[in-house]
Order: sequence, then structure tokens, then C-alpha cells
Amino acid sequence: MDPLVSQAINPMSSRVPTDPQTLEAAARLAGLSLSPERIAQLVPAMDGFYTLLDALDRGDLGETAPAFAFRASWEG
Amino acid sequence: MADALDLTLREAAAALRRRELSPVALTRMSLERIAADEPKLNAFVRLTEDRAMAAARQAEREIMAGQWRGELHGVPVAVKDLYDIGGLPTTCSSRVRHDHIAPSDSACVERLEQAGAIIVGKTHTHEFAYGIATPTTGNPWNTAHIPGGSSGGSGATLAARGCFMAMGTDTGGSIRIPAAVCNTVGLKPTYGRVSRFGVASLSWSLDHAGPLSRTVGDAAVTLAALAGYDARDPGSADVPVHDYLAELEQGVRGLRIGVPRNFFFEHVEPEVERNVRDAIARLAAQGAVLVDVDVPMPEMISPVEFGLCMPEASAYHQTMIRERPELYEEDVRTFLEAGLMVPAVDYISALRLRGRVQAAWKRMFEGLDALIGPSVAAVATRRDQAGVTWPDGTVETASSVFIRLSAPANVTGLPSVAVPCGFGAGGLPTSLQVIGRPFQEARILRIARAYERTADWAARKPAF
Repeated sequence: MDPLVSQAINPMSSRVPTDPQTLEAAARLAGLSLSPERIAQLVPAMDGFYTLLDALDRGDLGETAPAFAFRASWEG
Repeated sequence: MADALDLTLREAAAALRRRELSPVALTRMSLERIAADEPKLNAFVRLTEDRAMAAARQAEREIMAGQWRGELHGVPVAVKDLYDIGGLPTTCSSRVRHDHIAPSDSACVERLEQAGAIIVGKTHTHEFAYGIATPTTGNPWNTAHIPGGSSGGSGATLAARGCFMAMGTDTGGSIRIPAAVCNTVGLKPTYGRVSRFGVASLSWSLDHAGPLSRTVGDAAVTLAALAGYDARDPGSADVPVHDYLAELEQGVRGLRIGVPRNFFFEHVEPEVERNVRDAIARLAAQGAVLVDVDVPMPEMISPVEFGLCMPEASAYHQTMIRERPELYEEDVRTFLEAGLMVPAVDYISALRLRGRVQAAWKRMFEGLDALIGPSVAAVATRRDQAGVTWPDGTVETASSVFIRLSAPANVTGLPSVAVPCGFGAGGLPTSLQVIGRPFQEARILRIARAYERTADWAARKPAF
């Protein structure tokens, strides 16, 4: 695992550990053409990233809206 | 006048205005110093000698004619090679962009040149600003160590007295990290305060443009030239621009400064903590009111930072990372491929949580003028050093060591200034950061200046 994200371990994560087959499918969906060797290299990194991002699911966000920056105004 | 490059920007400006110093001579000195240092530092992607000398001659004519534009007039500066200068390549220190020619000037280049600044070159960045090491470049305090990043070239040349100000960008700390490890000031303004038009993006919702400088006053002068609404940047804020010099010298008596009980002093090198706490004591001695605070939701900073940055960066690069991944450096390639495999729902959760973090920080800031803490957790690591092992056995990557304390100001969008506060392990620089309320850059610069006056760190010069 990339220790960059080691501060957010979530043992309940449903997508970690990542297996090569799942990652290959995810890569294909993302439009990436990755060799088996590259998939193998990415597995530990993705474990770290998905573990970090799983922290986003903790807690109830209720009615909190996303912080989009879009403005509908046509004025300068 | 061999030591003119040791002046601060404001001192050089005063000498230029009094015509004791020539823009042409100063620019020539700057270019010569940079050229002499490049074999050791490699801070620049390119120098812009012809353009700089032409601008210097124009500045000289104008100043001699009494048409002084302000404190940047005739002053040599540099910009990170993410900033477009029309007609020149913007490489982002990447093979991917070796043939990319900028169609026009970025907003910051426009504003700097309108203020009369002389752009002497474009500095190295960690590839596409996606990292903290800037592996192309050495730290002038010890060239075996990183200059920080991603604006590492700007930090390195500024510390080495190559120029008087250098522009950086900051998505997770990329202005403040190189400033911290190179002994310079680094100012990340409030999100939207400075236009990013014409700056290559890493993450639209987290990117900030701002200066690295030798002193707090130099940063204030630069921000005054840069700040303002720009409809060409969708994140630009239509908020009045303050006078960043008006309260700079007013001291801190009566100001309320939050001192974190958690997060900012966890897993921090002892010399870093010692120097930052010494700085806090100096502010208290000047009459600042210290308030113990608990930083809210610290465990959500990194998930939100990376939950936003990774998909946005991968969206920006999606065509090239799919078609020519081998052109990227390995670390950046991994981040970009990974970002394409982050579900959209994770990204939206990060956007929603960002609002929660912002609200919690707003509550923390009730009754406070600013929050203070270390800029980064450690001094510059060696260029071949992957991470840091803390006394409790925890191993942390260099990326995390340097981003962890700077990312809160990106997630919250709050202004933050990194200020030198002495030296730590290996004689390498340490730094404190002052984080402020939205658009209150003047207040954090005032606090930073109050500390800066008590020390001479800005006058220290690396021997390399």
C-alpha cells in the first residue's frame, strides 16, 4: 500500500484488497489499455487510493450538497 | 553592485525608483547569477533573456522619464513553467508538453508585466505539478535534498538569489512546501483571489496561483499586483481587493491566534516543532492572544484532497494518459491512471465533504484572526529518500510528510502564508504557516511580518 494514504485505513472496505481481475475491468471501463505487468504494478497503489477514498463514505452526509463552482450568470 | 541580488524585492524597488540601480544592470546580474547556479541547481526550464532585456530597457526608459509604475517595476522575477507566456513553450517539466506553445499570456504574466516586472525565465515544476519533489532540481541549502514542490524551481532560485520573486501554484501545498524547505516566504491566497487563466491545471477545484518571495512584504507587494476578479477563470472570486500593505507593520497586539492542540503538531520533527513554538511565543510576547483550538475533521483532509485532485487531474490528462502513458514519469503516470479508476460517486462525496469541512473550520475560526502551525512536518528530505520513519515506528512517504499540513488550506480554500522560522536537522530550513479567514490575506501577512521582524532568517543565504 502506498503509505501516502496510510492514515485512512478502513478494514471494512468492500473494494480492498484490489485483485488484478477487478482492476483490469476497471481499467477497461476507464479506457485504459494496461498490460498484465502494469496491472500488477498498480494493484498496491489502488489498494492505497481506494482505502483512502473509502473514508469519504464514513458518516451520513444527509442533505449536504456538493460544493460545485458552476455559476449560471452570463455577466463578466 | 555585486550584492544587489541580496536585496529584498522592496529594497531593490526603492533603489530602482531612486535610480541608484538600473533595471538593465539588475536584470543582467540576475541572468548571470542564474546561469552560474544552473549546473548545481537546474531550477529553470528556460531563461527568457531577450524578452527580459527588452523589458528591462523599457523599464529603464520609463523610470528615467519619471514614469515609475510601482514596486515591481524593473524587478527580475520568474514564473513556474505552468504559466503561459504567449509564443513560448509551457512544458510543465514534462515530455508530454515539449512542443506545446502558449497562444497567449496567462493572467498573472499579464499583471506582472503590466506592473513592470521583468520575467527572466520559467522554473521547473514537479511534472504537471503532481508531486512534492521536483526531481529535476536541487535545494540550495543542500543540493542532495529536494527543493520541495511542485514549485521547486521557484523555491530554489529564489533562495539562491537568482531573482526577487518567483510564481508558484498550490494544489496541496505546492507554493508553501518549496518555500518551507528553501527558506523563503510562500503565499497561497484565498481560492479565487488570483486568476489561474493561462496556468496549466492540476485540479480546478484546488489550484491556486501565488508568489514565493524572500520576505512577507515582498509577497504583499506581489499579491497587490495579482489580485482581482477575472471572468476567464471560472473559480475567480468577485470580491474587493484589500490594501495588503496597509496593516503590514501594525503588529499583533490584541490579535487572536489559534494554536492547534491536535493534527498540526502530530508526527512533526522535533526541531520543526521547537522552532514553530518559539515563533508562537515571540508573537505572544508582542501581545498576540493565543487560543488553544481543536482542528475539526482532520481525518477527512487527505480523502477530500485526493478525492478531488485525482479525478480532476486524470480528466485533464485523459487523452494523453490513454494514448502515450510512457511519456509520463512513473509516479505521475500512476496517479493519472489511478484517477481514471475513481468512481464519480467518490468525487461527489469529496465535494460534499468539502462543504462539511469548510463549515467546521468556519466554526473553529469564530473569534480568531488566524491559525498557526508548521508549514510542513519535516525539513527537506534527500532526493533519494522515499519517506520518513517516525519515532513510533510509523513510516510515511515524503509526499504525505509534506502535503499533510498544507492541504487543509487547499481543501478549505483559506489563505495561508509560509514563513521561515529557523533551521532544523542537517542545517535545513524550517517554516511556520499562518492560515487566515477567507480573503483576509492582509491579516495573515501582518501576523507573518510581526514574526519576521523578530528574526533574520530572510537574510540567511545558502552556500552551495
